[in-house]
Amino acid sequence: MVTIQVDMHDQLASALQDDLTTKIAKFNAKGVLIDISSLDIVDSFIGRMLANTSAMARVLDAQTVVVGMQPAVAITLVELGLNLSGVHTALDVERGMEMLRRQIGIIDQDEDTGA
Amino acid sequence: MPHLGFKSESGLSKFLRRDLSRPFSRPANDGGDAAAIFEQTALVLRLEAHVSEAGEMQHRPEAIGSIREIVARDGGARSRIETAENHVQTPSEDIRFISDQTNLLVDFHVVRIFQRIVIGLQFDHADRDQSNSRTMTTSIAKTLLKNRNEILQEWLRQQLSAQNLRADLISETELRSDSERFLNVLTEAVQFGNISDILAPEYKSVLEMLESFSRSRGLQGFTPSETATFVFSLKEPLFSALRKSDDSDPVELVENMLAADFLLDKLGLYTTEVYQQSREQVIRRQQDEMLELSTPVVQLWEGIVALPLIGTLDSARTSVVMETLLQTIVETRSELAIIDITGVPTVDTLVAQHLLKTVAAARLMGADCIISGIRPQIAQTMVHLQIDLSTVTTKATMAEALRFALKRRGNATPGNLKNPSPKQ
Repeated sequence: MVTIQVDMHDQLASALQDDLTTKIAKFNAKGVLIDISSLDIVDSFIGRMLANTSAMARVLDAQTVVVGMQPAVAITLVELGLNLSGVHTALDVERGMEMLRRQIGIIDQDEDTGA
Repeated sequence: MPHLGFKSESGLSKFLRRDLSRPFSRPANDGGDAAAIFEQTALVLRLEAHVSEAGEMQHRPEAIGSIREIVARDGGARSRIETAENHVQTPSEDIRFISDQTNLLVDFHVVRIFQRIVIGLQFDHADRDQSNSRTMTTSIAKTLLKNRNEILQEWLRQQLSAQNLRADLISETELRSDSERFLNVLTEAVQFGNISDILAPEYKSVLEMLESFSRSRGLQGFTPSETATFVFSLKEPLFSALRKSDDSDPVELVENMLAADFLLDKLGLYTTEVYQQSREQVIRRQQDEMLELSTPVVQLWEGIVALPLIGTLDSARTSVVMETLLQTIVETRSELAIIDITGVPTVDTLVAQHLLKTVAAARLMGADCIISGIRPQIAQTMVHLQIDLSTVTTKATMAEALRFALKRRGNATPGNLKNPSPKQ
């Protein structure tokens, strides 16, 4: 789980991505939860960062869910034209976990039954 | 640019002029306003038309000019004709000039030019030319000062006997005190010698008095022309006072009267502008209220909210809709939003774009949207316009949408991994 509480700038973002990918590999994580409920302002940079991070995680076989998006942030992202179509979203942390569990659970089950 | 003589740098005059242009583009000012208010309260459907209309700023100087013409015809030109007829002593060329020019539908520029021609014709001496404006202003100022009471009495007498005196709306004492007050501030202001620029600081108290006067008259139910007539009706008593005191030099008299005429015209038009401004404020306030009222978000079920849209969806409304919807999603912790567009009369690419934006925003928040209430014609239009709705679930009626939503909720229980239907 990643909680973003500070303003993101270039270095911090790439550091985060490094850290994240390392951790995913290390713990063999299947799900990543990014909590942006403390983020009031968002720009195209952050939008892209979120999309990229989620893509990287997917490459490493982990699902990403972004939770806690504020209404203002959602409106801004839509106005900027960033739908973040590859990113799953949920209202809060509980639902995000639920979603991840469901998705990961299904994947596991498929693997188990060999489907 | 032809204008009313206002310095175009002043922000206030620019604002007034811009806001003035729009209503004056219709033939009848107050008729247009009443229609505007009517349309708003009657049908929310017209909302978009109104928002876009108010947003348009038309720069139409000729429109202003035309109202000025109407005014000039009623108040100014007539007195100019009187002047020409009463002063047989003026050289014949002047009379011809004056009476010729009154046939023109004068706009400000032209009148100004011909005033200067009249002056030029008469005065051979250069020094008289320069001191001319000063003598003009001081004699107007002197007349106002000396004959104040006479002017006031005559003015009141004329106002009270006028045909369009709204005795039902205003009492004689009120009229008397208004007239006195205006005459006082005006007399004070012209003493400074400037009778052309009403935006100069010495006219501040005059403008303030006219502003509050115009607003209160407007509230009482007077039309803008009735309010402006108050100022214009001062012309006759002032002109007769000027005539009586200054009949030694007829040409100077004509200039004085012209200058006084312009001044009162400007002041009268200022009242109209203020009137229009306050009406615009009322209309805008009503528009805002209607915007707020017309986008309710209701909670249909646990975790399901519905947004019935009524009326056209323009950019302004869309942002309000989006905000309200997202706010409600957060508050009610809903995962599903049903947007019902039964009440949206037409869907074009713009409206569809706004809808899709709203859906995308809701999805970013973690809630899915279902669009319902799509009429057959709308469906046809959408396909013809090749609007891509593949990312959105659509249902024909809200009932269908609700059923779908409930099924979705029923399925989405944690731990139910054996559920065959994948999350859509």
